[in-house]
Parts: sequence; structure tokens; C-alpha cells
Amino acid sequence: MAEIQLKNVCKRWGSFIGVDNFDLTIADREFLVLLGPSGCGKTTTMRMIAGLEDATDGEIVIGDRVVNDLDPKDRDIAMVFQSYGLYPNMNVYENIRFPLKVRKVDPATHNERVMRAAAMVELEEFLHRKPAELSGGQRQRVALARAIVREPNVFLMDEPLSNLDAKLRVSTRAQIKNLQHELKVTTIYVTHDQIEAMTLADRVVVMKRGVIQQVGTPTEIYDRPANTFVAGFIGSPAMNLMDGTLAGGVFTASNVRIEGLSGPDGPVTLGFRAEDASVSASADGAEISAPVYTMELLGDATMITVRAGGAMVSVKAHKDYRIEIDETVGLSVPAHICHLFHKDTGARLEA
Amino acid sequence: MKHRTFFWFFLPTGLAMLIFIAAPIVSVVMQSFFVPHEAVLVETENCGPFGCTKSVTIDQEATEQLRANNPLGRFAGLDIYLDRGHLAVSEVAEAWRETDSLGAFFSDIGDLPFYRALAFTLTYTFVVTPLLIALGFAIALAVNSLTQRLKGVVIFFSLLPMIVTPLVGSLILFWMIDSRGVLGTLIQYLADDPGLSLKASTSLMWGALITYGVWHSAPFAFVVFYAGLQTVPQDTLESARIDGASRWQQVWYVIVPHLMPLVTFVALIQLMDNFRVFEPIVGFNAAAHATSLSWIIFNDLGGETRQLSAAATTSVLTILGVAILLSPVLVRTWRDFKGKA
Repeated sequence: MAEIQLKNVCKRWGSFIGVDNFDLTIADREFLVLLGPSGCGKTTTMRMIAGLEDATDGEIVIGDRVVNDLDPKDRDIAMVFQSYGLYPNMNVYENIRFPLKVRKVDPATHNERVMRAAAMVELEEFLHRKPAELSGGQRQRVALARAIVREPNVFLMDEPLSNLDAKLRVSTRAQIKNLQHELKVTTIYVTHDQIEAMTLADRVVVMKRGVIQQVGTPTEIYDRPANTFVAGFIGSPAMNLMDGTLAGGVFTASNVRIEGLSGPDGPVTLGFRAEDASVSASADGAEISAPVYTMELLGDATMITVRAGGAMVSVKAHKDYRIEIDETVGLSVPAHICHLFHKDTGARLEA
Repeated sequence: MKHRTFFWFFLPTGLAMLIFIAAPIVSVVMQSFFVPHEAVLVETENCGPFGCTKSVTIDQEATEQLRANNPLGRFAGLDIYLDRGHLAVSEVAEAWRETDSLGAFFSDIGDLPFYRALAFTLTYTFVVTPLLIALGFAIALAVNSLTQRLKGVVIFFSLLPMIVTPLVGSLILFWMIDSRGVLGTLIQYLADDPGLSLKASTSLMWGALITYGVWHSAPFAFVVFYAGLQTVPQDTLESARIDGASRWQQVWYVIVPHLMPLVTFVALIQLMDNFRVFEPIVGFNAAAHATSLSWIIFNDLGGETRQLSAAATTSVLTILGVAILLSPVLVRTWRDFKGKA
């Protein structure tokens, strides 16, 4: 049981800033996801918590101990790596038992604990195999079992699903979520996959170039992105962002005119989600009216894309909707689904 | 690859191997079955006023003729293998009969040149090989944990023993350990025995030779292991750190298993190399205390009468020795091959 506090943690290599002033408190038993594109500092942050990387500045507190100067093994954490990090010369049983063995836990308890951990990830029948004889999903489950066997205070997971194929990813994701619920251990999970973040997290931290962009529940992040970066990163497809001008509550840009907004006059960026908008019956009087750039069939919906406001704008239509390329279409974008952002800083403009 | 294509592809290599490797071995084996011709002797009787005397002379012409006709010599079968200079079967049997304890038996055997050489060669091989692997591994670990700037310099100095010509290297060490040398004096001081001298003490000489062997070959192991260390999977190492492994446990459970194939490789090469130990015996002038199979070959071929057959026989025995040393690995390779097929 541990709360983790990161107090103004920084990581610099020479003049390069990897993580800048990371300040966050992670509650006990929380499932926190660090989300961002490659090189945003999310993995570095996790490695600093693990002790594999030294923080240049700031304080890391796990439970009530400052752990900055502690070795990884003394921080009472367990970690799961993207490429599993298993011991290839040991079989599954020995891999799972390794943390108990090197920590000199009473040998009489080993068998029971290993079997319990193996049962949690359904590995009982593979205990005598070497990692090389397992599939990717099974290997990652071995890594999970090795992490839980010691019952640590904190789980750290560094893109554990990235090496798995799409189908396995979904089932392993569910397994991780369930494990965390059952074990009630504070978990920090790093990913660049926003769907993983949305499905797993109690809270998501979106990062960019070492700086936190937004911290919030998946719903908050999805419904009220703090800036254009978060808006453009979360959701599939990402939020449509158009540049234009707002004058007297009316947003105008090429092919676009949206009324009924409230915000300061001047240049702004307007965003809305493809699934919130719809195709209107006629092109006249619709908020966006433009020739179709492309039409994609997704199975559960049809995606219409047009050029508007200097960007590609996508809208989800009913799955039976059909239209030819270059035909003019009207898209209905009511004001209440729109988000306004500062044109230069990208920060959200509150109504 | 088709068999036909492979045949043409492999032909040049195969031919070269046949001419430069297989043929010489065959010729050495052949030679080991023949002994030089004895001179043709002619007995003549000279009768004079005081009676007849018989005298024996060498018929030079007939001898030349015989040597020209059969340049290999007289066929001797396994005689040379079994004679006193080599396997010494009858001497060993006699020693077995006449001694009543194993110690006495081995001390008798130790006087036979082949077994004397074999004893040192095997001791040298099996002491030096594990030590140099351990030392090379230790140096590799140490260098690998140095900062980038120091690495180059340290690697250069670590490689020096291998760069230095073996003969020169052993001579330098010999002079240092000699009773008038720096180390020799130190040893005398430490042992509190002013008479202690490398040239006079067999155990000291063996120790010096083995020390030299480790010093000379450790860089080879170091280079191989250092290269291997660069490929140790980092996340497995980090897993071990988080799982709670100490530095030693990381080395033992992650690095050593990862380097195991390289250990096999180094052991193989060094077993072969050390079994043919030669230069240090010359450099240390150690023949009085330690001889090796290679040294016997050299000794047989040197001097006024070049004993080709004796040298050939020792060579064949050396090759057999190397084959026996390597057989466990060869058997394993063969099994792996069969397993894959």
C-alpha cells in the first residue's frame, strides 16, 4: 500500500531536458497511465520511479520514504518491460521464483507463492518450459507473474502490450485491469496507445516533450481536452481542429460557419469530435459545406472527410450512408459540441 | 543450395584444405610408421700371413641405393609408437609389475620422456584454461563498467600481453623471475630462502610457466567476453536489478548464462592452444623442469640427427590428444546438428 509523490522531478542530460518539473501525487491503489508520443519523457519518468534512472532534480516519495538514493531493489516495486526481460536460461517456474530467491524469502513458501502467481495469469501448464518456447503473450504473462509473486507496493509497466498482436493485446489488457483490481496495488502504466490509456486508467497523464499537458480521468481528458495537443492525441480519429476567426459568437473559416459560440473575438482554433457531428440533409445551411475529399467504410460507420478551415475534417455518418468523392456535402456541427482553443498557445478557452 | 552448386562453390576451399591440411597430416602419419634404413653392412675377410680377420664396413653405395628406392625408410608398424621414447608400453608394464604403490608407479612413469611431457602439458592445459577464462571475464567486467573516456586506454593495456611476441614476453618474465630479477628477489625475500631460484625449482618453474600462460592468453578471453558483454539484454539486467539481485547475482544469473556460448568457444580454442604449449618452455629455458609434446617434436627435429620418424609419431599423438580433448564439444555439435536435421 503506497502513495507515490513526485515533487518537481526533473531529468536533464546536458542541455537536453527529458522530464521537466514533473509534479504529481499518485494515490494509493490508483491505476495511473502516462500517455504521450515517443520521446515525451513518460518512460524516463517511470524509470526514475523505478530507480533505473537518477532524477536530476526533485524528490520521489514512495509511501513515506524518499527513495531518490535507494537502489531499485530497495524501493519495493515490480516492473514489467516491453520486451519482457525474462531470464532465457531459466524455465517459467524459476523465472517467477527469481525475486523470492534473490531476496532470500523463506524457501518453504516459494512453491505456494509461485503457484498462486502462475494461477492468476493462467500459466500452470507451462511451468517447465523455457521462455523461448512460449508465445509473446505467454512471455508477458510470465513477466506479470514474476511481478506479482513478491506482492510489491507498486507496479510499474512499461508498454507491456506493445510487442503483442492486436487480438492478444485486448485480452492481456483485460487481464492486467483485472489483476490490478484484485491485488489493489498502486500501478503506473506507460503507453503511447490512447485506447489502452482510456480502458485501463483511473487517471491519465498526457505528456509532451517532458511536460505534463493534462491530468485527469479518461472522461475528462476525452470530453474537456486542456489544449490542442491533448485534443489531437486522444480519440480515434483525433479531434478535428480548424483555424478560423471568431467574431460575435460566429466562427468562420473556409467552407465553415458556426453560430452560437461564446468566446473572445479574434483568431481561434475550433475543435469537435467526428462522432459528435453528423451529416445534414442538405448542404445549404449546414455549418460545414464542402466537396467530399474521401469516404471510408469502417463497418460500424462511414467516415466522410472534407477540407475545411485549413485542415482535413472527418465526420462519422451512418454505416449505410454513401456519397461520391467531390460531391458537395453538408456537415452539421452544432455549437454545443465545439471546443475553442487559443490559436497560438493551443490552450483551451473556457466559455 | 543445390548439391551441384554447392560442390562448385566449395571446390576451391576443399582443394586447398586437402592440399595444405589433409595431405600433410597423411604424410606425417605415414612417416610415423617407418624408421630410417639401417646402413647396409658388408663383411669382408682379409687373409694375411697372420691368419684371417673379418671386418665389417658400410657399403655406401648399397645404402644410398636402398634409401633412394624407399625414401620413407623401413616399415616399422607401430614400433615407434610403442618404443621408450613414446608410449613405452613395455616400460610401463614393467613399472606396473615392479612397483607396489601408485605413487612409485607414477614416479617411475614420470621418468619416461613422453609421459613427463604429457604430465606437464595436461597440467598446463587444465590449469591455465580455466584461470585465463576467469581472469579474462573479470577484466571484461571491470573494463565494461569504466567510463567511456578511460575504456580505450585500458583496453589497449589489457591487450598488450597478446600483442607482445610470446617469446619476448616469456623472456621478459623469465628475467624478472630469475634469481637476480625483481620478482625473483621478491620471492626469495618472501619465502625467506636466499637459495630459491627459478632455474633450480621445478614447482617454481611450473608456477612461472602457468602464470605466463594465463598472462599471455587472458587478453584473448577478455576481447571475446567484452564483445559479448555489449550484447547482454539491458532489460533482463534491469529486471534482475528490480527483482532484487545484487551485482554478483546479476553477473551469475544474467551475464554468465548469456556469455556461456562464448565461454565454450574460448575454452575450445584455448584447450587446443595450451595443449600445444611451446614458446614459454623455450623462453624460460625450462626443459630441465618441464617439457611439452611440442617441445619433444622440436627437440627431435633439432640437433645433428633429425629424427623425423620420432617427431612424426609425437605429432600424431599430439593430434590424437587434441582430438580427445575436443571430443565432448564435437559430439555435442554433432548432436545439435542431428537434432536440427
